[in-house]
Amino acid sequence: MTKLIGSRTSLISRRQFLHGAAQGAAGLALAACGASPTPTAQPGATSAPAQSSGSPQKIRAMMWQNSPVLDENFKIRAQMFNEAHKGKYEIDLQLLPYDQYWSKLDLAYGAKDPIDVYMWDVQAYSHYKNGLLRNLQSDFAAVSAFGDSAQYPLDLYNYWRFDGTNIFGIPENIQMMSLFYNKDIFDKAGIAYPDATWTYDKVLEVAKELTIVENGETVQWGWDKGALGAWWGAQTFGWAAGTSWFDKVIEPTKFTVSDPRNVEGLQWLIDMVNVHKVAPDATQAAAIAQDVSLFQTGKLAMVADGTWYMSSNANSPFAWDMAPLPMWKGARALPFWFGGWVVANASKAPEAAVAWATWSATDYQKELVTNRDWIPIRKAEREDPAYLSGLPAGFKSVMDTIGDARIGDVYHGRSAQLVNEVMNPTLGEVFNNNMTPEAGAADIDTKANELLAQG
Amino acid sequence: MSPAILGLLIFTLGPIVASLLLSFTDYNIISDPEWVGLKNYVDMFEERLFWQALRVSAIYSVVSVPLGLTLSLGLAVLLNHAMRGISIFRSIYYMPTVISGVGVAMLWRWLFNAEFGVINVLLDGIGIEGPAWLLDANWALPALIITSLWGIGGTTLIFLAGLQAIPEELYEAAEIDGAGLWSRFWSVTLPLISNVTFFNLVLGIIGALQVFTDAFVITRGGPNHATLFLSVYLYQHAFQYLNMGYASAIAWFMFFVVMLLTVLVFKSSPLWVYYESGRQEK
Repeated sequence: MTKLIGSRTSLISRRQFLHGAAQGAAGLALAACGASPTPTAQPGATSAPAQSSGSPQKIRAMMWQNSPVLDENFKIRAQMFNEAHKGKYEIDLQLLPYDQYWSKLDLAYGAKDPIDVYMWDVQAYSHYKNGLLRNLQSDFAAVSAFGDSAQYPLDLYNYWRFDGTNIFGIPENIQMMSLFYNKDIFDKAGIAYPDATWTYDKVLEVAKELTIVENGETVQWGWDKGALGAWWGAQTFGWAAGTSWFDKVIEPTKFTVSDPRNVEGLQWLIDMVNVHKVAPDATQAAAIAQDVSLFQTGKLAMVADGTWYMSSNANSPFAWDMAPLPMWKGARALPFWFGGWVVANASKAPEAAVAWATWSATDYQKELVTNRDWIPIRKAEREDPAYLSGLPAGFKSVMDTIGDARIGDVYHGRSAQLVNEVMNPTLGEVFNNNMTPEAGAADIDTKANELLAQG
Repeated sequence: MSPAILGLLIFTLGPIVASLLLSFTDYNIISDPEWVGLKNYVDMFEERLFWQALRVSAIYSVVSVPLGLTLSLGLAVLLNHAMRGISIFRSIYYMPTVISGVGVAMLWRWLFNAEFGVINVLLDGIGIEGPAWLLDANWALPALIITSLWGIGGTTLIFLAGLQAIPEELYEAAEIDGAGLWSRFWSVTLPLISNVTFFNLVLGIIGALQVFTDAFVITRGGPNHATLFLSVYLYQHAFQYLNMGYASAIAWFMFFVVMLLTVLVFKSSPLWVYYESGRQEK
């Protein structure tokens, strides 16, 4: 790929760069050994081996590792795809640890031999920004089922229309946030379980009742902020109050965390720890939960967290359930995320890559009913009684709040810096009580807007 | 061309030349490098977090290097005495150097846990309420400086070798001249191991400015960038933000800082390093 030549900059291709570096190294070799450098063949792009009309299109897919069970099911999924498309497509699915996943993808792009189709996460937005992702609009439109808003939450798909018009990923599963609660603790206290009518005021009221202090030490906590402590969780208070942390999800131009409505949400989270003392601080939480999540210790009544915690909570030695995220200022707002596939623009077999993505979002959805690895994107499976029967009773009520959900991402070329350099460190200071919410919010705005100004 | 030289060219000089060239480009791996001249270097000096990273690395080096040298010299002096079982003590003090890396960093993370970490439990035992070491921006860097002392066994061993090379008759002569314990240490031991101190100082400076594992594993550069070492800052830009050109510029800046300090130490050596054949020629 070649970028436009800027007024103050000039371009060199990777090939020119490597050629220059090779010449430099050859010069050094000459000086060191007094021998002539061995002429090397001109490097050239490797073309895909020609495929006979009868052989299947071979593609490489990539996904990050999750757990042995999920990983095994992904391998089975690849086998199923290959069997369903025998003689036409053949997929080689690689599963890598998450920290190696992006490096491998980027290096493959750098080597001009990209992975054909891979699971999306926010880092892939930089691939879109660099023109490396296939515009899937026509592929998407070619699948009639994808036009049925009764089956797919098409309104939410707009977040993946990065240019405002065309879709660049095909969702296959969805994750949201919910309120997890320990039923045993509620039963013991004789308190009714949380439901869709709950507000954060109610959470505070009940958390006070469920927090138990013995000999000056808290032995049971009523509440923990869980994922509300992440920037994408904390911003839901602002959403519910009619504002947001930044002006738009795709290519934001301004951060507005210091809006009092955002600060009020942060203050509520802090007060649960410092004022009401119904939630543990970071040190106390670390002391309670070492190998498992705080909720799984059984010493916590309620926590706001992602639906992905359902599988790990399943191993808890107590009864638990889930409810919709509570309402704030009379409204409910929660983040959601898609799991889905993107296709490399330079894929040598885009048809097969798209086939994998669409098959995963259509035919394969039925498998998710039985293996329950992910929450199906298609409503038929998501609300299939067979699927729901194996899940917590409150799961459906959580999924019914999908209309209140907004994507919990920020898509910008500097997304990683906005999160790692600005939001996470400052929120850490706020939640560790080293900075007031007002000061933290102002700090985020200043630093984030500085970064955005750099383009 | 011998395989050794070929290996040097391919695996050492090649990447060095490449990183120098990359430092003048905008390069994110997935696209071709774009020549931007000195922009990365200019941007670096205008970047707030770069100065924070430089500050953290400087404080760490200024404190941990002298502290490590002093403690390791003290240990070496103690281990230089002839007594029963001294070789066991020497092994014990060297052992931590053998066990290093991520495992040790994880261990320190537990030791520094504010609630149940051994360090705060011990402090509590003497009536001191320990801080939230790794969660408090004021205490995270001191925690990593303490962690750096884990590896002083190697420096101690080098000091010990230097101490054992000092001829015994020099101490006897000093004693006859009426020198006490401190005078013998100050006037005989320190000058005669100054070449070893010089060696350890150079290695210490280079090591302190390149520290990465502890900062990355224990604190990840936090809280609030309090332990954002230059190496961690470099890593973030190279592998999290894919700013390879900018990261290369940081790497070359680090190289020049290390080289400058090393040259300064070398230049200062005639003033304080004793060589058996007389003062080193300038």
